[in-house]
Amino acid sequence: MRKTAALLSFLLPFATLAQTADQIIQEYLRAIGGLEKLKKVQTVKMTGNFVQGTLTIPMTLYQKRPNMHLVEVTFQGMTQKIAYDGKEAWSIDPFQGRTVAAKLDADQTKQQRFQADIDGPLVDYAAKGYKVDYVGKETIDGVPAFHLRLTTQEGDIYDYFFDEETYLLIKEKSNVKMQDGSVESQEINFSDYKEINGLLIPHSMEMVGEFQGQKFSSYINIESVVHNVPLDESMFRMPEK
Amino acid sequence: MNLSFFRCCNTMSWSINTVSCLWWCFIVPPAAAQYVDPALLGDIRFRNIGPAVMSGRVACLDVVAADGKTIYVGAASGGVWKSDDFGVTFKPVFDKYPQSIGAITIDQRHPDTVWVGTGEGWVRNSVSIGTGIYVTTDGGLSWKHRGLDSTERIARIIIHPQNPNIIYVAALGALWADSPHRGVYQSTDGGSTWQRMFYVDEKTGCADLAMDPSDPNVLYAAMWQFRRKPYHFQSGGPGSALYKTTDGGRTWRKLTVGLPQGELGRIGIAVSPVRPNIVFASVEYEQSAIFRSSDKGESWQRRGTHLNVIERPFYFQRLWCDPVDTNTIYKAGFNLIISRDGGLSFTTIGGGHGDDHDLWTNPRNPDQLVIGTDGGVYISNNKGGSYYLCRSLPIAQFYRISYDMENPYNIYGGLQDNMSWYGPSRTNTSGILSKHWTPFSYGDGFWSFVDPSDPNIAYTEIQGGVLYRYDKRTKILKELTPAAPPGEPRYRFNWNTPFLPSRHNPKKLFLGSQYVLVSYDRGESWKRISPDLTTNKPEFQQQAASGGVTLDNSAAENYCSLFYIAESPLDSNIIWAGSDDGQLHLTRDGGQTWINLSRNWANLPPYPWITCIEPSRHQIATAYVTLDYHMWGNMKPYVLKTEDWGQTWTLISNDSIKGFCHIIREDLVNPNLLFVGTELGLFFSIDRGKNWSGFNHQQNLPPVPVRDLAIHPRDQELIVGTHGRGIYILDKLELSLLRQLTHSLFEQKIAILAVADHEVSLRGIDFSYMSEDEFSGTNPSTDARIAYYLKDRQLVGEVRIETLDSSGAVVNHVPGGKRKGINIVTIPTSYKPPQVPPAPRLAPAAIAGPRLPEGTYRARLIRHKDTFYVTFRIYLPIQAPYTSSERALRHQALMTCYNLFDDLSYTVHSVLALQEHIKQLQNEARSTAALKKKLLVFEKELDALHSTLVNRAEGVVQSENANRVRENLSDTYGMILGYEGPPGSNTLERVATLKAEVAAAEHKLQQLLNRYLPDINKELKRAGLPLMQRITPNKPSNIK
Repeated sequence: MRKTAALLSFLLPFATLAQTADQIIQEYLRAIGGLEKLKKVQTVKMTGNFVQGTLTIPMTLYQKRPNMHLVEVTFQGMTQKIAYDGKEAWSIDPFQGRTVAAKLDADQTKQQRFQADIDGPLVDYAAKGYKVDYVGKETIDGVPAFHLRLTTQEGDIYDYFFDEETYLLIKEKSNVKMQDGSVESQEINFSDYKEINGLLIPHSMEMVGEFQGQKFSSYINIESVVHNVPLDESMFRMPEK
Repeated sequence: MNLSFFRCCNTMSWSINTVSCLWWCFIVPPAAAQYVDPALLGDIRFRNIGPAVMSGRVACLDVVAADGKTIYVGAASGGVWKSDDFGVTFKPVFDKYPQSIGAITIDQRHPDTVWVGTGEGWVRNSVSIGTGIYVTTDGGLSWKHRGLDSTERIARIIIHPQNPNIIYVAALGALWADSPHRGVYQSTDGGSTWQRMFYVDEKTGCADLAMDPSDPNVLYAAMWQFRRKPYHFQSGGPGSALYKTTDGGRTWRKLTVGLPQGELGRIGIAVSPVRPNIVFASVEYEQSAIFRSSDKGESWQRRGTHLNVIERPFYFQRLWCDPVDTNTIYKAGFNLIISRDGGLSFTTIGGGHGDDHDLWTNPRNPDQLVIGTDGGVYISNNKGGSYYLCRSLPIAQFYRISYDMENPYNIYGGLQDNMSWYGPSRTNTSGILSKHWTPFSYGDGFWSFVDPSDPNIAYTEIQGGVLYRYDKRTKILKELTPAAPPGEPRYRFNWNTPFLPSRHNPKKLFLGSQYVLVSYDRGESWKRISPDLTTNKPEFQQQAASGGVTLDNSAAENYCSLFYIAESPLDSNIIWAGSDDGQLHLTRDGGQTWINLSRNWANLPPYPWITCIEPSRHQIATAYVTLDYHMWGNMKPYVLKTEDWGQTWTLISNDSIKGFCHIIREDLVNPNLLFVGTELGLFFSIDRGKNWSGFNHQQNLPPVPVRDLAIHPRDQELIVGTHGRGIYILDKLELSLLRQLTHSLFEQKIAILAVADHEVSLRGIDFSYMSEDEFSGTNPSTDARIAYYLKDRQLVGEVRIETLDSSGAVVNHVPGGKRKGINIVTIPTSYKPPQVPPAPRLAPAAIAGPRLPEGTYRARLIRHKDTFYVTFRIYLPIQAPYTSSERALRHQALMTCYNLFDDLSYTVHSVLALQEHIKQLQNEARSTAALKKKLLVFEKELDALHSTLVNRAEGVVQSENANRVRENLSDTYGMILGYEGPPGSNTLERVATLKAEVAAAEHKLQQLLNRYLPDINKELKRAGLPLMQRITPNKPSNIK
């Protein structure tokens, strides 16, 4: 933790006043350790817990370039899998009483695809078909922050807020359009930044849901992050059976 | 980022519940006090309890024509609401901004672009104010203010059909004053700049605007001269007329041919979308009627009329053409009316609330209507033949609220055009639903309250001092309205007449006409205890002639009457009375002598409404007063304080308070804490009015008119009565946080502020059929919670809250909040969920662990090297139908099951591990045939045992005979967990049986191990393989 703090304070004098979306993305990437280091990451294995109230559920996330993604959640000895293999998204949901693998619908596939991006959507956003605008400097939860808005081709909106002092990502708000015309909203607060292989990675993600003005939090708390472990592509593919 | 939080180990212990109550006594506010940034309030949030059962006034609405299901609703004083499912559910999308909405227009070609004009155009006496025009380009996620700040109210917005950067705005303008900021405005650059294209004079605004769909350069403007004064409303005058432009607004021509010659009032216009040369106008004049033009407004013919064409045009003057049939038009009114013969005759349509203000007719299905009324949004699928109410719009407009002392307490209140109601501040079920609210009067409701000596009796009133007493048991209502004795002047009652119980004598009621009246017999008889306490100026008493072109005397313009009466909480002989015409009086001898205190306000303008008097409960000579001049055209806040019985006064309001003032409350505990409700929200001061801050949407409280405030003396909750968004409650923990805020607190890096105890939830269930269309009010948290302050947002390191049991062992832990400002985090009070043996199906009950029994516990907050200890209680609410000692039996049974899960898991995991080992050995090259044979026998035994312990079938298998020990244990655990009282003896017998079964399973496994392992291990040794032994992945660590 001390090491991370030292890294952060080292970064501060270099932070300049960015005014465009691209400059802010550059500063953010520099703040987390640099694009070069990020690009060296071929696979990721993260283990941690999903925490909601007093419920703590172990989970493991696997990612592999270019765009493969698998989350395993284990509870009462059963393992739920949600994955995207670069083409299709699928899940095995034993909590419903069956261990059969099923293809996910368009709404879920869209979200899995979005999450399967190791670099995050802001890196090379134009090539990925996204539009990113600098909305302005805003105060978010009392903290001055740079606000970027990413819009996908489907019209989904992701708002990113970067701490003005450190350029670290502190909040993401998403508004994703569903097939039925409704919009699914979520807010994520990032914290507990730790250095892993020269990259600052948030180890706590607070997911905030809102219902009738009241906020409800659940968390993903990461315990370990390992880069470049060998991961076979087959693990991301939907089992045939 | 602040890195100095890496400081030395620092362990502090707090006894919070005492500290939080006394804190303010010891902290002297620093001399250089500052404004409190609301962002530092962090997790402090008000909860909205609705209700939505009566909804509230809707001023305007629009629907995305292409999808036919996205509705935007503009509430009169409750913001903008969006539905993406044609009215089943709504969510507020405009909570950062003032809540009075005058016009909503969707850019139908880019439906994520929506323009909102603030300031309602239906100018009743209680109407709110706006702050200009706003636009969203992302379907309501974010809004930009686009100017026209001073227009006060916007009646219409039209987007050019070909160029969405061209916007026309009908600015009605100021209601209570002359103003040049009205008329027709145009922007050609998407709202960056505006030009006033048409203006008549400072008294005349644009009430309606219509564009020719075949030629966007042709527009019709209804100009209206109007003015409201406290005692009179004027509709009409020489400024009123219908105008037309054919060059996009550069030049305008008055339309006169065939239109009435005399004085005109308000006019509504509608152009037929089918044949745009047909234009209809609803014209207010001495013979108000519908007019029709078939030559684009050049000449007009008077058609028919109807009660709903004539009455109250200032409130209802709107017309719509059917999207298909040129002869079908709709007109708003007390009821919606339809004409199918081009305005010659009309039929009243639909049920519902009535008092309609806006209508949308589906261009693809003209039978489908969406209607905005004084009672919310209705939808009709048969052209108004029948309606249903959208039940999820909590936009209730309360004038006054009060509480009783039931448990849970009820809130009473009267609403604009929606009667008086009472309902619970909380329920023990999922939420506060429409069915929990009870109406108990007619009309518009105002002061309503319970009889302090009888919780079954409630009092209420309707406009103009018509009083009632209601028996909740029999539902019988008795009118109590007093009349002046013979020979005395007639009583003058305000629209919103002060009517309240004494704080000292449960039999005494107060009522304010121009006199203070009291009753000692539940309102049966009344005694005057004051002289006329108003100016009694004849020129201020013109209500009988109010209305202008259309006479309209509804008590809304009653003036020279008392508006507020307050008895000192410290002495029943001290009574303060304030009038709507600026007269403040005080008696200190129970009404024998009255002193005029407003004479001491030499520097203030005359005749304010004295909207509230709050005598201090901490200092007898201190009182706070709010004054409201908005009906004289002055919107500034005025909050006054006296500390010497009103001899001298200090103005304690400043620019931080927005909007004219309705109410002030002094906190019951901390005399430095004041709350002020205004037309634009709720404000507070932590230093007796030196500095003020406003609550906002981040505390879940939009800048809505706050008309009344109360602090419940037993439950210590702040109740906020809004005129537009129902009722909000700030719960005990949150209020206690405000009580202890000091400016010095904000300098600390971290501070533990308060702890809420855990109230055991009694788990009621509302058995009703599933539907998503009903609003459900939020209940308070009953969890133990810790509140702490962080000076900076924490990006590095974790914050952790741990709960300790009586032995000091950690029961459970959760992540803590890391935001800048106040964090409020639920302290876990239950154990982690039990271990459950693996099986193809969830053991659903076992997703939760048992809660700690009632008692006092410690929790600690760990952040970096700092540890802070707090204590909290787990307690049973007094309504519980069982005792804590009875509940001990439940806890014991739960813990038995909890430990049985552990034991069973141990056995099952052992079986599975042995089976896995056997499987490996069956495939092991060095395994001998003899070994494999022995393994096979052992495996069969293990498999047979396993099959008795868990249900191994996949899928939804619910039959009881499929249950094994695991499932029976889960069911039994769930049964006990689901009821907070003691389990029945049969259930306890089930626990005993399970205990025996789990023990038998373990015993059986031991027997198998003893029988088979020695032989198998002999073979293994012979083959040079590792020996088989019991693997203990989850050795039980039973909690006793």
